Amino acid sequence: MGTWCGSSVGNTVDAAPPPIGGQPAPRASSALVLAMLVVDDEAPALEAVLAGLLAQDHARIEVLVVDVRLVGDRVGNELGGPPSLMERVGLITPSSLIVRSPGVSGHGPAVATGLRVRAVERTGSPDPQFLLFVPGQVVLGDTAVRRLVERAVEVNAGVVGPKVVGPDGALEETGWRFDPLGSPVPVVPDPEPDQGQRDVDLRPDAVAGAAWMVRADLFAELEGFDPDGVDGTGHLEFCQRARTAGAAVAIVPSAVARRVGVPDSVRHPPTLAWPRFRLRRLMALPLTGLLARVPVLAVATLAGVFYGIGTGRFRHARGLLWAWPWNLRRLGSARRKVKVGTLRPSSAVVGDHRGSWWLALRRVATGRVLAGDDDRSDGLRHLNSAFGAVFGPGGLAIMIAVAVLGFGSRSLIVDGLSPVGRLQRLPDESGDLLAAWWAGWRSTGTGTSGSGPDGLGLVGLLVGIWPYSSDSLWTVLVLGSFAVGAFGIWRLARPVGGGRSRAVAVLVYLAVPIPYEALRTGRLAPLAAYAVMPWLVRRLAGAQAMAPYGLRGGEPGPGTRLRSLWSDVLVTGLALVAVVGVDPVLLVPATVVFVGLVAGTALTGTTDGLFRLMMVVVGGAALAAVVHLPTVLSVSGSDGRGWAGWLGGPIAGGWGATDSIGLEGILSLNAEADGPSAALALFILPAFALVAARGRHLSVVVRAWFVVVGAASLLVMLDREWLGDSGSALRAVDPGVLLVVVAVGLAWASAAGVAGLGSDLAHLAQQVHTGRSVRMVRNGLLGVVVAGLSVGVVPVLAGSLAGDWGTARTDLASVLPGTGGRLVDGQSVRGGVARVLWMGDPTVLPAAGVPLASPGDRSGPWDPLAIAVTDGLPDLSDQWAPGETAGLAELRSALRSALDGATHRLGADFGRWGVANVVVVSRSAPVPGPGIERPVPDRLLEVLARQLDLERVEAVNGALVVYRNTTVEAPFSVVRDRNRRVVPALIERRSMGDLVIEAPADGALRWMVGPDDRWRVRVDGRPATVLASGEAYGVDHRPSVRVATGSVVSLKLDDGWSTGRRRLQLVMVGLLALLASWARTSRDVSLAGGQARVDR
Amino acid sequence: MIAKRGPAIAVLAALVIAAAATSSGLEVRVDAGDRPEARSAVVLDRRSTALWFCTGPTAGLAEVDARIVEVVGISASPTEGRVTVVDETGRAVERAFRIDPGGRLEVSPGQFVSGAVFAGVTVEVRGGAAVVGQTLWGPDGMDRRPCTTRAADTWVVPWSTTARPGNRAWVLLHNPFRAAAVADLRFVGDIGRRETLDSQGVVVPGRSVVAYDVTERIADSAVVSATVDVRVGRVVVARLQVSDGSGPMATRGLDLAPGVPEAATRVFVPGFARTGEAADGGAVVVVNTGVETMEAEVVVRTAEQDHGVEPWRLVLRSGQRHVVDLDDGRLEGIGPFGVEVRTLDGRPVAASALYRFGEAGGLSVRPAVAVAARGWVVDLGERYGSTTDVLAVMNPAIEGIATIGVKVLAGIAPASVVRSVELSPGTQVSFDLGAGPPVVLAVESTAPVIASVHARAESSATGSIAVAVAGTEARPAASR
Repeated sequence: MGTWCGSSVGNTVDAAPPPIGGQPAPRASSALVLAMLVVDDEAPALEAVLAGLLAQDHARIEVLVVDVRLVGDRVGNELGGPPSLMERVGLITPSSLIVRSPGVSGHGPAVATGLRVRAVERTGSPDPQFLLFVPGQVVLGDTAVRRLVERAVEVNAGVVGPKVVGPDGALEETGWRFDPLGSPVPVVPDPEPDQGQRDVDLRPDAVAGAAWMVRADLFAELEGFDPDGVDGTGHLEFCQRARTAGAAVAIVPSAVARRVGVPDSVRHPPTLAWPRFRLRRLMALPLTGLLARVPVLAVATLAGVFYGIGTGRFRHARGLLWAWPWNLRRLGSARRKVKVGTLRPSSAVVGDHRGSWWLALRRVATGRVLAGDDDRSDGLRHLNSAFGAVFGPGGLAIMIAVAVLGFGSRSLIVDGLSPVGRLQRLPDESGDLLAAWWAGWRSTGTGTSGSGPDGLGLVGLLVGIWPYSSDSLWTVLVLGSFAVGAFGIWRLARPVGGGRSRAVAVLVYLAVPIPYEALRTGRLAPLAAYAVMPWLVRRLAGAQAMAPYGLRGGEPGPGTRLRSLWSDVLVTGLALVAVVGVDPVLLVPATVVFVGLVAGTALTGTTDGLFRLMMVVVGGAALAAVVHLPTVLSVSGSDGRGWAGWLGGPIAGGWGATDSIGLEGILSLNAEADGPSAALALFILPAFALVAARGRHLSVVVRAWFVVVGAASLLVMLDREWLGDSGSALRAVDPGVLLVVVAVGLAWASAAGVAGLGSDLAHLAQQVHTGRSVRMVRNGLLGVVVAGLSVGVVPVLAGSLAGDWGTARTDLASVLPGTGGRLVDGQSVRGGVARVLWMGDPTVLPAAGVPLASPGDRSGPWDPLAIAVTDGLPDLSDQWAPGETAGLAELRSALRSALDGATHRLGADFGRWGVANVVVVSRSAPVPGPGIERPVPDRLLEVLARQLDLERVEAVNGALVVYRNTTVEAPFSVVRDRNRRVVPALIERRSMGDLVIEAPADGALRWMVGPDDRWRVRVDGRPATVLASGEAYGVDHRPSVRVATGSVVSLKLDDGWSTGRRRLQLVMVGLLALLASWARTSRDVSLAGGQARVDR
Repeated sequence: MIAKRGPAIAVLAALVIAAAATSSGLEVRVDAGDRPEARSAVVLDRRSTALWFCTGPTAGLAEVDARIVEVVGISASPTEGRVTVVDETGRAVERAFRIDPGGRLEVSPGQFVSGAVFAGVTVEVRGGAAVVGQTLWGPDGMDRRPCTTRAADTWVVPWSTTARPGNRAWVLLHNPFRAAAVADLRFVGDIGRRETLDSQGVVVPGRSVVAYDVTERIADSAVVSATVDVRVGRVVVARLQVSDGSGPMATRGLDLAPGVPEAATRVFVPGFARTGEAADGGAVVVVNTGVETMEAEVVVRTAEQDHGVEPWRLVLRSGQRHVVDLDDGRLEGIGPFGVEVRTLDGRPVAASALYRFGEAGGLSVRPAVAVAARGWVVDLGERYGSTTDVLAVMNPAIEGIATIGVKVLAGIAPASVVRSVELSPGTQVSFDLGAGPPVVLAVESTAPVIASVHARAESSATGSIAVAVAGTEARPAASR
C-alpha cells in the first residue's frame, strides 16, 4: 500500500470530450497534465528532470513522483548526509505529490499505485487530461509539454511523444515499429545528427520510451499498463494496445527531450527483455494468429539459440530460452489481453522492409536490431560494396580481367574440364569421396588406407548436394580457384591502398602463368595454393597487426579487423586446419610466408608485431595439430610413412612433376619455362616499389619481397638438393606451389607500390635528378611500370583466345579401349573390376602411384617413372599417393624383375592382382591435342614388348602404349581345390566398404584388395576363419577363407578406427570454430564503444 | 612509420647473386634404353629368366634335312624352362623342360608342329644359365649358330642371293609375342631398290612365323639386301639361304643367318682365314640403311696394329648397298684377319661378311656386330669331321689393351687354346680349336672384345658371333 508525503494544488481544466467513451477532447491550453516519475534508484538526474518540468510553458502540470526503492532515504535527523528524495523534489517542485511504495516492482504497478494514491489524496481535484511518463533521464524542452498537448489535441492522438536527443544533440530516439514477429524496431537505430531527417515519420507504432504522454481517459479505458508486462517495454505495449483500440500514436518532432548523461551511452532495453516482450505479444494474439506465428517464433528461437552459442552470445541464447517459461507462467494474463485486442498487425506497409518476415526471423535469431533503411544482409552489402568498388579507380581493369577470364574459360565452362594429370573427374558413385574420407580407405593401388586430404570429403559432400552433374561441380571448383585467389588478393591488398592498388594486385595475380600451367598440366596443388595462399598471407599479416593490417606502427587500413591475441590464435588455427584439409603440402608455403614476414619485418628495422606473429603462429599451429592429432601421431613415425608419406612424396605430383627449376623458372613463374618469359615484366613494379616506396607502403613492400625471397630460396635449395636428396619430404611440394607464394608476394608488393606510386616516383626522381627533368624522369619511370604490367598480362590475353587456356579437350581414358568404369552401389560383376596398371612419368599419369625406382636408387634410369593402379578408369580419388600397398609393392617388384630380365611373363605376376591392362603413358593427353610429352625410356617398352603374356593393343592413340594381359585373374575369385584353377566369383557392391560375394566353386576364396587387416569376412552370416597365405587349404601369398559352392561371403571394411578419428576431428574442428567465433564476438563487443571496425 | 630499405635491397642483391652463381647447367639423365645389348646374350644371374628365339625351317622344307634346337645348361644347378614352338599357321605348342648341369636338350621343332615348313622356337630359361643354339642340315651343307635373344623393330639383312639357277632365299619373321606385328620389307637388288605391295604391311600374327620368299619377289639377283621395319610390335628376323652350287658363283651351302638388329657407326666381324684357293671368295656387304649419303671404309684388323693394308673407301647413297671384294689382292700374306666397317661421318651402317668355298662347297655368312662384351660364351659342337675350327677374338678399342682368358664351362678344353693373351687395340687373335668333343668355352676379357667362331668341314662351312654374357656388353668407342 502506498503512502503519500506531499501535495500540490491542482487547477481545473476545460476538458473537451475524448474520442473514447464519447468524452469531448480537451482544450490544449487548459489541459491538466500529470507528469509521473518513478524512482527506483539513486536517480542522479532527478533534479534536472524536475527542473525541466518546472520550466515548461504549459501552465497546468502536476508532478507525481513514485518512490519504489526498497531502501528509502535516511531516517532521523542526521546532518551532512545526502538529501532525501522528498527534499530533492520539494526543493524544485514543492507542490509535487510523492508516493512511497517500496513493495511495488515494475514501472506499470508503480504508475498504477501512484494514480490510485493521487486519486485518494487529491479527491476533489480535477482529474488530469494527460499523463506524462518520464521513465528516462531526460529533460524536456521548455515547450515540449505544450507542444505535446497541442499536437494530441490537434490530431486527436491518444499517445504522443517527443523526439529524444542525446547530450550532444544527436538524435537518439523517436519511435518504434513492430515486425511480423513482434520485435520492436527503433526508427532511429543509432544516434545520428538531427537535421530533421526523421521528422517525416510521425506515425510509428510506438513512441519513444524516455518520455511520452497519453490521454488519461484512454489510459483508464485500457486499464493502464500490463501488470505482467516486461519491465521497460510499457510504452511499446501500451501504444500497441492504444492503436488496437483506435487511438492514434504520434510523434511531435517539435517537442524535444534531451537525455542527461554521456554521449553514445544510449541503450535500448536489455536483450533479455526483447524475447519476453515478443513472445508475450504473440501469446496475446487471437488463436489463429497464435497458431500461425508461435511455431515460426519457436523455430527462430531455436536458430537463435544455436547462433548465440555459436557466436558466444550466451545472454542472447539464454534470453531466448528463458522467455518461454517466463511467458508460459503468465499465459493466463496474456490470453486475457486478447479480449481488449493487444495486438494489431504492424503498420508497416506491404513491401516495407520492416514488414519482412526474413528480417523478423533474423532479428529473433541474431538479436540484432536490423533497423536501418539498408535491409540487405552483410554479405550482400559487402558484395554490393565490392561491386561498387569495381566502378571506382581501377575498376575497369578488374572488369576486363574478369571478362578475359570468362572469355578464356568459355570452352571449359560449356564443355567441362577434360581429365588430365591430377585433374581427373569425380567418381561415378557420388558418395565415394565422402565414404572414402570417413572410412579411411580407397581402392587406389589395390586398396589403401590413406584417404587423401580432408578436402576430398568436403568435395564428396558437395557432390551430394550439388543439383547438377558432378562434372559441372568439378569445373566450378577448379575454375573457382581463380576467382577465390583473385578475391583473396583483393582482400590482401585492401588495407594497403585504394581501388587502384587492389586492381593492380589482382591484375598481377591473374597474369602469372602458374594457374594456367597447372590447369594445362593437370596439377591440383598449385591450383589449391593459388586459391588459398592470398588468404593465408592476409591472415598472417593480420596476425602481425602491423600497419596497415593493425595498429602497430600506424593507422589500420580499410577493411582491417582488429582482433585480440586469443582470437587471432584461434582463427589462425582454424585457417591452418583448413589449409591442411585442402592439401597438407600447403603447410610448407605457409611456413615460407611466416619466415618471409619475420625476415622482411626485421629488415625494415623494426620488430613490431613479430612477437605477436610468432605467438599466433605457434598457437595456431598447436591448435591445428590438436585437430589433426591422429595425423600428427601418424606422420611422427608410428606407421612408418613419415612426412613424405603424408605429404604425398615427390612422385605424387611434387618435385617429380617437373624438371629442374632454375633461376629462369622462378623469374618466369613457370617451373616448365625454358627461358625468360613475359612474366619477368611482373617483377618491374615490385622492384620500383622497393626503391621508391616510403612509409608504411615500404614496410609492406619489404615484407612482400621477403615472402617472395623465402619461396624462391626454398625453390633453389630444393632444386639443388641442399635440403635432402630426391626422396626428401620437402620435395613433395610441387614447385608451382612455391611459385604461387612468389606470385602472392609480387602482387602484394605491386599493390603497395602502386598505392603511392606517383608521389613516390616523383620523390625518387628528385633524388636522382633536379630541375625540369624531374618530371620527365618520373613520367619515364611510370611508363616503364605501365609497360611492365602491360607486357606481363599479354600472355594471359593471348591465352584467352583459345577458350580453354590450352588444355586438352580429350582425356586418355577416352582413347583407352576395353576399360570400363567402377562398380556403383547395387551393381554386380563377376570377378570384380578389372584393374589398370599405369606407368610413366608422374606428371602425365592419370593417377598417383609409387616410384618405380627403389628408395635407394633415386639417381637410376627409372627414377622419374612411377606406377599406379586403379580399379577401372581413374578418378579424383586416385590422385593422392596410396603409399606402399602390398599390391603395389608386388607389382613394382614384378616390374623391376622384368626390367632386370628376371621374367618374361610379367602378365602372370600382374594378373594375380587383377591387372587386366598395362598402360604406358608418354603424354598427358591424346595426340594431336595439346599435352605434355614425357616419353618413357625405350628400355621399358622393350622389356614390356618381350613379355610373352602381354599382348599389345594396337590402334591406340600415340600417347599410350597399351598391353592386354592374357593371364589376368579375377580380383575376387575362388581357387579350386582340385586343380588350383582360379574361378571368378560374383561380387555385388552394397557400398564402398560392403561387398557380397557368391562363391562359384568349392575352394579357397581370395580377395586381391588390401590392406589385409582392414577387411572382415563372414561366410553365410558367420565369422569366417581367415587362412594365412600359404596355409594348408589356403592360397599362396594371400589370405583366404574356405567356401563351398553357393556360399555367400560378406566382405566388410573395418572402419572403426577411421570413423572414430573422423568424429574426433569433426568435434575438434567444431570446437575450434566455436571458440574462434566466441573470441571474435567478445572482441567485437569489447570494441563496440570504440573503433571496432575500420571500414572506409 | 619509418621503414628502411637498404638492408632489404642488400640482402636481395646478395641472394640473387648467390642463386646465379650456384645455378647448375642442364641435368643429364641416364637413359635406361641406352644400354647396349648383344644379339645373343646369356644371363648368368640365377634370378633372371632368359628368352631365346630360334627361327628357321623344318624338315618339311625340301632343302632341309633336319633342324635341331639345342639347349646347353652351363650353370652348376639344374636348369628349368619352357619351349614354345610356333609355326606359320599360328599353331603354338608349349613344353616345360629341365636339364642337368652341363646337360644338353635337343628339340626338333618339326616334331612339335608337324607339317609345318617353318617354325619358330622360343626357349624360356628360368633360374639358370643356358646357351641355346640351333643346327641345320641339308643336302647342300649345314649351319650351326646360337639363337638370338633379341627381338627388335628394325632389322637389316645385308646379304642373300637369288641368282639363277640354284639359289633360294627366304626372310623369316618370327613373332614370339602375343600381339600381332606388322612389318615393312624393302629390298635392294642388283637393279636398285625394290618394294612390292606384298612386302608392305606384312602381318606377323602373334606367336607365329612368316616366311617371305625373296626368290619369288626379287628373282635372279646376285645380291639382295633387305631391311625390315616393324611398324607394330617386335619380331626376330633371320635369313635362310640355300645354294646348290649350280649358280653363277658356284656357291653351295646352307646358311641361316640372323638379321642385324641395329646399325652402328662401327661394326665388326673377326675371324677371317683365307684358304688361298682361287675358287674361294670373301666379301663384305655394306648397306646404308639411312636416308642420307654416307661415307664409310672397310678396315682390316690383324694381329698387328700396323699391317699396312689400305682400307676400302665407300660412298653410299641412301639405301645403297656395296659389296667389297676381299680378294682384290690387298690381303696377300697377312694371315688371319678381321674386318671393321666404320663410317666417317657418324651415320650408322650395317654389314655382313661372307665366305664361300667354291669347289668344296660351303657358305658362311656372319652379320657384323656393333656390341662388344667382356664375357663371351662359345658353344662348340663335335669337331671330329671339321678341317678348321677357329675361335677369333678382336679388341675393337681405339686404345687400351684387353687381356683375354679362355675357360671351359663344360666339356674338355681344346689343346690349342691359350689360357691368357693380351690384345692390343684394333687387333685380333685367332685360335685353331682342332678336333674334339663338344665343349662350352668362356672368353673373359678385361675390356670389351668381340668373339666369333668359324668352322669349316669337308663340304660345308659355318660361322657365327659368339654369345655375349649379359651385362658385360659395351659399345666400342667411336673412331677418331
